[in-house]
Amino acid sequence: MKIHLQPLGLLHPLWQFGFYLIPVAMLCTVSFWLLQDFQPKPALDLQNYQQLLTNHVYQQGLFSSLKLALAASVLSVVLALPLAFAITFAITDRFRRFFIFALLWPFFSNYVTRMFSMQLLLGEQGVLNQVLLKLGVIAVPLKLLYSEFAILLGLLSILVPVSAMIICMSLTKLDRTLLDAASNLGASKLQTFSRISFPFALPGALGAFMYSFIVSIGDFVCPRILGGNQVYTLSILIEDRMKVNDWPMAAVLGVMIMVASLVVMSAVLYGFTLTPTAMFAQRQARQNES
Amino acid sequence: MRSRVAVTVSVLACCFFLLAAAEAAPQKELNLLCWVSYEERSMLEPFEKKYNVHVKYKTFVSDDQMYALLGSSKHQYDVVTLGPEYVEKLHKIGRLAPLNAADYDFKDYIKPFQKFPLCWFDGKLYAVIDGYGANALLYNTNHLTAKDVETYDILWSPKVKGKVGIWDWYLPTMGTLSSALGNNPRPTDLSQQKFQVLDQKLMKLRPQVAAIFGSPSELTTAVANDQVWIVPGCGEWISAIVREQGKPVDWAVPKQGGQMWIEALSIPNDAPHPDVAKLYVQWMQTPEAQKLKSERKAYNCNVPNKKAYDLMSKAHKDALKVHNEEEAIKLIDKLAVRRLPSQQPETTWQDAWQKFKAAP
Amino acid sequence: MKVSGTLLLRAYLCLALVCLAVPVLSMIWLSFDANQLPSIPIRNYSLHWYEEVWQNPDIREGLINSVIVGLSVAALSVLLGLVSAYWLCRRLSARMSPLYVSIVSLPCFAPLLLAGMAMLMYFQTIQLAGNIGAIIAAHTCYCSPFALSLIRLSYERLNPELECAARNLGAGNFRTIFMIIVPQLWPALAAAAMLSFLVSWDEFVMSWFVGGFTKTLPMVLYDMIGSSYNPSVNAVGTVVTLVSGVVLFTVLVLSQRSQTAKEARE
Repeated sequence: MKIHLQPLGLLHPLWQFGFYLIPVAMLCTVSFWLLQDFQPKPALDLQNYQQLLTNHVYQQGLFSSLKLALAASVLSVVLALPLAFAITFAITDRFRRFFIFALLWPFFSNYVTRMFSMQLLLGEQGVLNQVLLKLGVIAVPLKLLYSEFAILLGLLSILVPVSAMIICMSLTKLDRTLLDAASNLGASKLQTFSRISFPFALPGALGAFMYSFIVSIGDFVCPRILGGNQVYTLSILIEDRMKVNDWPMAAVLGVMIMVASLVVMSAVLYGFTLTPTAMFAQRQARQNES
Repeated sequence: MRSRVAVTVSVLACCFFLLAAAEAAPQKELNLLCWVSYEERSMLEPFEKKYNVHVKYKTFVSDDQMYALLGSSKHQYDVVTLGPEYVEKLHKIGRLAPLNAADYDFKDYIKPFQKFPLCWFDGKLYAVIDGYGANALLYNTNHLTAKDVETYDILWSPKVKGKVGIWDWYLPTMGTLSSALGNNPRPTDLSQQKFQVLDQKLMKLRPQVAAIFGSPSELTTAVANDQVWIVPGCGEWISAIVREQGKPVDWAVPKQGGQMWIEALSIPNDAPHPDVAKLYVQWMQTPEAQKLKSERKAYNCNVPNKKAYDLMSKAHKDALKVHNEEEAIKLIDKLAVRRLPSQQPETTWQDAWQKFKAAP
Repeated sequence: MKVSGTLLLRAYLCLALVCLAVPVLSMIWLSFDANQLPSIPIRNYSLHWYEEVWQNPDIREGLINSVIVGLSVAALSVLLGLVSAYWLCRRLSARMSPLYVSIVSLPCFAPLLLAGMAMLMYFQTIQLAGNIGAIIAAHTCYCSPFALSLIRLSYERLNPELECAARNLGAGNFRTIFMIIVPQLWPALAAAAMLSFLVSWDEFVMSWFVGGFTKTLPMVLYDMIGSSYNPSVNAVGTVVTLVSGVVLFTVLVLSQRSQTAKEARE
C-alpha cells in the first residue's frame, strides 16, 4: 500500500507536536538554565545536572520514587491479574458489564477527595483501626497513615482498576476453543492455565506494569496527602522547587522522570517481543513469508 | 432532518445560556494574590456586594510562593497579602506601589501597629497590616499539660515521638526552633555557628515527626484527629478553630518566647485596578472585616483593630487569649517580629529545610 | 475442582470491589456530616453542605469550566481520532502505522506531571497560560489517543468497499468521512466522545499546572481542601462522582452496542 500523508492525516501528529513535543523540548532546554535571585535566567550550564549527581537529597528523591513506583507497579499487576481472570472467565456475559462498571466507577470519582477520605479511614481514630480494636485483633491503634504503606494503598486504588482492564483486553484475544481443545486433549486445569491462558495475559500484564509505573512515578497527590511528606519523592521535590521558582532544577527532575519512564517503557516493549504470543505471531509471520 | 433541528436548537440554547451567564457578571474586578482563607465566601461576599466587584484570586500557602508568583507576574494582581518582612525585599525590586497614608485609618489600631516600622520606607507607606498571630507551640491537652509546654524541649522528648506535626514552610518552623535555642529577640539573625547549631537541632527533630503538612487545613485535620499532639510554629490560628469544634487543644508561648507573624496588604505597582484595590484595603481595616478575618475557616488570627474585639464572642476571645489592647501588647512583648534571615542567604535556610524533609 | 476455582475468583473480585468502593462510599457518607471537621463516627447528619455548595459561585464557575472543557475536549478528541483512524486504516502502510500511533500517543507514555510542567512553561511563553484554551489543549493531547484506539477498533471492521463506491461516485475526503463512515461508526464515536469527556472531567494534574485563574472543578476542590477541609468538599465530590457514574455507564452501553454491531456485521 502506498503512503499518503496528505495534510488531514498530519493533523493529529501536528497537534501532539505543537502542544506536547515542543513544550517537552522547552523543558529540556530550561534544565540547562540557572536560577539567579529567584528568577530563572537562560544559560547553557550543566550545573543543575551536577547538583543532581552530588546532592544526596536529589538522589534520595530519585531512589524513593523509583522504589515506590516499582513496588506499586508489581503489586498492581499481581493484584489485577486475578481480577482480570475473574472478569473474563468467572463471570457470565450478562453480569460482566455490571462488574466492569463497579470496578471502574470508584476510579472515576474525584481523586483528591477520595484520598482525603482514605486519610480518615487509615488514621489512628479511623474506621479501620476502630474495627480492628473492637474485634480485639490489635490492642493499640496501628500507625498506618503517613507511611509508605498508606501511599501504596492510595496508588493501588487508582492503578488496579485500569491494570485489570488492560489485562482483560489482552485476554479477549484468547480464543475460547483453545481451552476446550486443551481439556479434550487431557490437559489439567493448571496446565491449561499456565500454557494457554497465562501467556495471553502476559502482554496485558506488561502493559499494565508500564501504565502503573508511569502513573506512580509522577503522582504527587498520594505522597503528600497519605504519606504526609514522610517519603520524599521526586514529585514532592519538583513541587518544592517550583514553589521557590527554581524552574531549572524542576526541569532537570522532570527530565529524570522522563528518562526513568523511557527506560521502563523500552524494557516493557522488549519484554513484549519475548512473550509467547508475540513469538508465536513472529513465527506465523515468518511462515507466511516463506 | 428532525435530529438536525434538535441539535441546532440545543446548540443555540447552550450559547444563549453561556452568554447570559457571562453577562450576569458585575462590572468591576479585583485580582487578589493571597494566603488561603482570604478567598472564603464569608470574607469576599460582603465586599463584593457592597462595591459590586467580582473578586478573582490565586492562593498560596507560603510567602516563598507569594514572592515567586509576584516576581514572575506582569499586570496581573491588584492586591497582594504578605508579611511585612517581605516588604523591603519587594520594595528593592520595585514591585510595590507607595500608598497614600491619609487614605487609610489607623486610629483604632493598637499602638504597636499604628506606625509599624517594617511597613514604611523613605517616609512612605507600603503595606497596611490587617492581622497577626503567634508562631509558638500548639498542644493536645489530653496528652500534654501546661507544665510540659513551658519549654520547647518537650518537642525532643520521647513522650511525643512520632506525634510532632510540622507545617511545610521553613520560616515559621525554623524561626520558632531558633527561639527555642534562646536566640530571641532576633531568631533569624544568626551567626554561621549559631545557624549550624539550629541545623543540627532541626535534624534531631526529624525522628519525632508524624508528618509534614502542606497547608493549614491539613494540619488542622491532623490535630483534630489526634494524629498529631504538638506543633512548633503554631498558635492560636489553628488552636481556636479546633477548640471551637470541641477538641482538647490549646496553645502557649514557652519561656523562650516565640515569633510573631503579621499579615499585611500591599498594592503592586502594575496593578490593573488600583482604585478597587484601595477600596479593598480600606474595607479590610473596618471592624466588621477584621472580625471576619479573625474567624476565618482556614486559620484564625488576632487583629490590630481593637474595635473588632467588641464584635467577637467571648469564647473566641478566650481561644485567642486576647480580649483587649492590654493583653494584645502583653502577647506581642513575648514574641519576636518574624523577619527574613539576615546573615545567610534565604537559600541556605531553604536548603537546610529541604534536607530536613528528605531525611528518612 | 472447577467450581472452587471460579468461586475463589468471584470472591476475590467482590472483595476487591468492596475495598475500592469503601473510600468513595465514605466520602459520600461524610458529605452528610453536620460537623465542620470531618471525623468518623458521625454524630449529626445534615444536608446544609449541599446547600452551601449550591450557593458557592466558585463551585459554579468550576463546574461550568469543567463542562466547557469536557465538551470541547470530547469534540476535538473525536475529530482528531476519527481523522487519524481513517488515515491509519486506509492510507498508511503496515510499516508506518506503529510509528504513527506512537507519535500520536506520546502524551500517554510519560507522567502527566511532566506534561503539566512543560506545558506551563510553554504557555507562559506564548502568553496563553491561565486560559481555558490552554486547559483544553492540554487535555486533548492526553485524551485523543484514547479516542483514537476506541474508534480504530470499530473502524477496522468497516467494509472498505463502501468507501470505494463512494469515491467512484465522486465523493471527496470530507464527504466520505462524514457521510459514509460516521453514520456507521456512531456508537464508537459517541463512546470515544464520552470517554474523552470522562477522562477530562476528572483530570487534575495538568489542569493544576496549566490553568491559573481559570479553575476546573477538581482544581476548585483541591483549593477548597487546602483552605478549609469541611464536608462541602465531600458534597462536591459526591456530585462529581454521580456525574462520572452516569457518563461511564453510557460509555459502557455504547461500546457494547458497537461491539454487537461489529459482530452482526461479521
